[in-house]
Amino acid sequence: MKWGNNSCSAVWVFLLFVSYHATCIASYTSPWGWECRTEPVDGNPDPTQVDRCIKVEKSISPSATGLNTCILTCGPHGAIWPRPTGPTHIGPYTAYFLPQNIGQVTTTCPGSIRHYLDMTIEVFVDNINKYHPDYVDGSAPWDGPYGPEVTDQSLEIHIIVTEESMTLDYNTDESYDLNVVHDGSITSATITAPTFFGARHGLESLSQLIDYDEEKDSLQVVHSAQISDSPVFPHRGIIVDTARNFMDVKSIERTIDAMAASKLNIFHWHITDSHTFPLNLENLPDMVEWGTYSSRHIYQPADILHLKEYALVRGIYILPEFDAPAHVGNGFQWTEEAGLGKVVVCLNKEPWMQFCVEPPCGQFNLANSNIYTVLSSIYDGMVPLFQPLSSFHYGGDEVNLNCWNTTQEIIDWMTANDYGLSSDSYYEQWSIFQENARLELTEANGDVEVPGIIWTSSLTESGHADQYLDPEKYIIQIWTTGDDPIIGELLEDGFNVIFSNFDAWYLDCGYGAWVGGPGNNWCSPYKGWQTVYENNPIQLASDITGADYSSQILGGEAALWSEQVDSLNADAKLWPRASALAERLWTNPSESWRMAETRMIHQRQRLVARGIAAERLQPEWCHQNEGLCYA
Amino acid sequence: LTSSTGGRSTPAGVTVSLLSMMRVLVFVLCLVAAASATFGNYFRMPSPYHYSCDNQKCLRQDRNQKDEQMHQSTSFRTARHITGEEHAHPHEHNHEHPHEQTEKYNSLAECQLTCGEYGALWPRPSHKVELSKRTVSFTPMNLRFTKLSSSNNEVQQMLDEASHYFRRNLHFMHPDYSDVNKGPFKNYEDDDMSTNDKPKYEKKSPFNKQESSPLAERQNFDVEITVTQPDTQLSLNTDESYDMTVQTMGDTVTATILASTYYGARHAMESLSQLIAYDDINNALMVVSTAKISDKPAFSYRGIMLDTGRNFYPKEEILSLLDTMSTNKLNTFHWHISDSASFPMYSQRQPQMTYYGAYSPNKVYYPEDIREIVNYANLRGIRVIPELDAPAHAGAGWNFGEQSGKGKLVLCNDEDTPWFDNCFEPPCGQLNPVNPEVYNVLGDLYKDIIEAFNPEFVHMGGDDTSFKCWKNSPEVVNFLKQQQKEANTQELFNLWNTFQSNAYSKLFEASGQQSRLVTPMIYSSSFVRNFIDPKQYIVQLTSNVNDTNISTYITNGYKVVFSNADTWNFEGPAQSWVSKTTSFRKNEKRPSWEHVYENSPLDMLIGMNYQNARSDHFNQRSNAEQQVLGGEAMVWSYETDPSSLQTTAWPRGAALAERLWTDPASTPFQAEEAKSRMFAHRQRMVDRGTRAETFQPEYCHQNQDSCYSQDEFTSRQQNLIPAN
Repeated sequence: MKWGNNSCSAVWVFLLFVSYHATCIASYTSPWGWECRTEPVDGNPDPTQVDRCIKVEKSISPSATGLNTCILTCGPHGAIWPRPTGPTHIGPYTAYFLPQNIGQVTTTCPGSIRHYLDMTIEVFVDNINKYHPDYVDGSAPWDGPYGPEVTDQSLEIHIIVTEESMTLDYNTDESYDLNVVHDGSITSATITAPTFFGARHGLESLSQLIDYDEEKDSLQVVHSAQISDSPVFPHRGIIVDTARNFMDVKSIERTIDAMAASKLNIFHWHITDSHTFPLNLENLPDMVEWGTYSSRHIYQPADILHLKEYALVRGIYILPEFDAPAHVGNGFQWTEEAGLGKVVVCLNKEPWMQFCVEPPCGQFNLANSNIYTVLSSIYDGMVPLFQPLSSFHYGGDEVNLNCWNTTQEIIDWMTANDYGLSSDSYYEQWSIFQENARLELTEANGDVEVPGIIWTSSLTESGHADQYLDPEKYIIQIWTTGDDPIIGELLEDGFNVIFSNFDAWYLDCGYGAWVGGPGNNWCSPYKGWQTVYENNPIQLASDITGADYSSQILGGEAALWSEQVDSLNADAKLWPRASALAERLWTNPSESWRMAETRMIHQRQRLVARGIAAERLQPEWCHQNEGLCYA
Repeated sequence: LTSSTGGRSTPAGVTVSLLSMMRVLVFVLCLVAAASATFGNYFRMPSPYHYSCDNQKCLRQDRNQKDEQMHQSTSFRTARHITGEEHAHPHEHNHEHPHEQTEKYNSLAECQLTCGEYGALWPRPSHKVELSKRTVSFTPMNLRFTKLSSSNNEVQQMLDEASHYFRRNLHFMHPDYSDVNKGPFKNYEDDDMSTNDKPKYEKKSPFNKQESSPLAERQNFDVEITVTQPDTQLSLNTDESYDMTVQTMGDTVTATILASTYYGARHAMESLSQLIAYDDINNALMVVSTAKISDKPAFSYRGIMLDTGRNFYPKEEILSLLDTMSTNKLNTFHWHISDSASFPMYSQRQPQMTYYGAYSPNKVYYPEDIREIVNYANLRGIRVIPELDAPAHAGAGWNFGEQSGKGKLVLCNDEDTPWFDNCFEPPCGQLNPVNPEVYNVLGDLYKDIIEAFNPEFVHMGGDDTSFKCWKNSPEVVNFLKQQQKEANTQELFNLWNTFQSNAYSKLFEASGQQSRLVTPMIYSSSFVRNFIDPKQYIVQLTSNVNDTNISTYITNGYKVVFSNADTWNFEGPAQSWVSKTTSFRKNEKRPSWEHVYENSPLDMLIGMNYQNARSDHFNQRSNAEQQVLGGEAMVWSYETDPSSLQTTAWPRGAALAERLWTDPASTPFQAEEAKSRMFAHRQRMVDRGTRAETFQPEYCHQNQDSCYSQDEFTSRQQNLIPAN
């Protein structure tokens, strides 16, 4: 049963229909359609005009299309997220096609990477199937009936890759060119890229030239487009913490899927903390036995290897973190019985606020040289799971000197060795620990040095960083506020940096305090997507230093600390805000968030279609009435 | 089998090198893995920890740690007992000698079931609770409803459905029960039960595939339910109380439930399910071996509001919401169906409303959907209150008027004037009070609503009416001019009154079609205080906590439902959906579950000098005569849709539930004291398939006395018991 174009007769038909078939009302065709129009933007942005999809009554504007069709083709960047950085042309028309009518798919590449290209094409096909509203478990009911305007159309894909490297590091060229042409019945997409990673991004963009068409119940693809694209920053990540609360493998897969949809490329995995050690290291099973919440909260080696591959196919490097010398604790209880002495001191010590920043406490025992025996075993167990390493995160944050300085064993050791008991004495020993940790990691990695990343901390405070850390060997991840002068000092000292300033890029903020209640958590308020989007590292650095340090800024990460996050709410807290981060890091736009708003809302819809429980940003009315939810 | 999986496997005396210890461990782990292979294909490890119940909290301990060491390590915790609390609960004899008489539990779940006065019950019973310290293991396959007794056929059928729902929820406790198979409980009736076949939920259950320990397999579990009254619809005066006993004699556990109404009986079944948890060691369930509970709610209106006007929720999502509400003994689903943004309810009498007003043809609630929702809710002890918000918050759908010759039904709904000049948020829209056709359409919509919902209450909205809109509308200004009136505040108030009176008559007329009386509800406003008759309406108070207007309503005798904007409003996280800097947040803070929990309507009134608010409330002859009917949390859908509804509503909705069911005393750390039960309850909601948000590291749940704030620490130190 369909509505006619004339609304008067339509209502009449509808009423008849209702009176006879009241119990099996199927559906009707909406009276609304959309037209792409150029409109002024409120405020004084640059540019002053923007292309928007405007809701109109189809009986009045017969050329109006469905909302998806309009969004795919409206504006200079269509529905591509993040916005391409190079010359981009998006044509005004789409062609229908069905996933079963994907015709020729060719890959021209070094043989060693064909396997990966094939897998990423499979991901692409699955992703476009997911656009169907009734997609379940790997398939969608493309049942029709379809007319020839759908069934006669096909999509061809040609991918050309020149390099054979499958390593994603700061030197990887992630650029691609995408060219889509239409010859009547065949839409042909050609992706040219130097690396697998660029080609994958090209396929991602192609999937964003495609969407579901409600009226035809088919897919549609923009049938002429040229995109030339490459990212501004090489490090575009999110950090996920699986130690405070466990995230199951499925939810990590979903996170990786959503990252790929936004061309993020670093999954920084804060696996362990003082709360738990959920990683089963086969050479050191005691860690997980004592350290996990339960037998169902464990990452098996096979899980890690699976996720590493899963991420790689989606253009993502899993950056492992083993946080030390603080943020260790549960899991290390076995060492005394095993004759290794106390490896962790202040373990679960009370009252916690005297010995650490949050319960439970725990810190490596500097006085016990067996910490290196255990640390090297942990690295030996971890490294093969994540190899090849492009970088490694040592953590290194929030050491509590009072913990060390109230532990008799450590006081005795500091005194016996004439190190002294001042703060600086402890910083000195901490930096020696850090250097030893770096050497152990390098050894575990077959003597191959990789860039080490550590958090800003007391070691990186004013006057400290260059004293304790080598800018050639360490990258500093900044979590203090975006206007902290220490950022300037680190850059002037020559450190490469990654931004995660909590005032914009901590996504767990704005909820109730988790120790004690009622009250808000420490980093409140909640960071809305606009705040995430407008946090510009190059600008922040230049505001502090008055100079251009863009070559030392590798990129950024949004952080999702998991005190109040687990598999059930990670999607909604990460997405779509981490997509806003993605456009900042891929495109580094000079325009305000307002210019990205309609694409952002559509990106959120795309994430939901792909099975991610991304949060709503607005009433759906704002999606259907672009530009009318202004302030 | 039991001992090999349950015992801590590390042998004593491993003092040799790390390597040899690892070898032993690996060997033992292999043994354990082999032994547990019959249970399933997951990796099962013996835990090095066990739990003991200490001062109402379950504390994790190293199994190998010697007793003195344990005393030492927990001495800080022990010292934190509050003297006053011990006197309050003299029957908790464990307090006298906290370590000598403490049971050791193999799992947190087992400890949690029996620890403290209320075990894992949520909301906690308001009258009597006695729980033994022991549990009995059983398999859900051995659960039998040996008696479902009522004098009424319909009640009998409802009990039968509820018994299946109960049984299904027990199966869901198995950690291997697949989440994709957990959804609204709809299809068991389709199962072919005549051939003695198992229902679907049981076929899919891991209990059906994995053996339990022989001990659990031998245990019988009989449930007997007696309902004395024939009620099949919830009203304010429905008796929701119940009495329940659990007894264990030999190899049979018997749970006996006695309730006046079906509604009390179904609440009892919820409570019974909360005396049960998964038993990892026996791959079985365990139930508290003896229990006595006497329980009834403090308030008869315990609600959640959902806004389906700003974003749409498929029917399944609403059914899931009802399921989780029923887990919490919440009994009122207030459905804010439409708003100016969309009109998703299909009206048989005015189909254009949906045609023009729905977001898409797939985003419509048809009458049969509504009937299904109402029936599903009733089985879960929940009334559904439909809301048709007017005269503001109306727009989408109403714009068909001009084309169909009815004139302008809605004003300010065009885009020519900036929204902030006409209303409080985009899109604007306010019904045209001077067009008689508006009342005809309203009347039709009320008729449709009453047919589909058969409601006890209808919410008429009435919030956010903007005089700017009416002042800016020539239709209104000209109408007033014809009567020699100006569009000043007084006249606009009168106009509003005209609108509300006409709308009320239309609702009254429409409600003549059904057997029971419809009571209208309305949001609090200055208009209500000036014009609304306390005898006719129930007022939903949406002002902030301690707003002085609250006492105006109380003094003037309005019956009220509390929905304080700063504590019981579950809006989205940022509320900055029109710009980075414009936030619609009513309050600096996003209320946490603790804020929700600690918001006590009766104590608020006592603080406003209604000293007898609590005794007045509990001394009324009937619930309907109480002035504070209860409370409701509101989920406005600016930034919420099916992706985040569950994490938005839960567990905060559970905090509301205990406030309204139990009316816990407003003590300084009341939420803190409920926290361990709340965490267990949150896990229970998760096991039933609800994405309830976590609010702490799981560490805090496993170490229930470790996550305190500086304030609590200081305060408890001041109440230290002298050592020994």
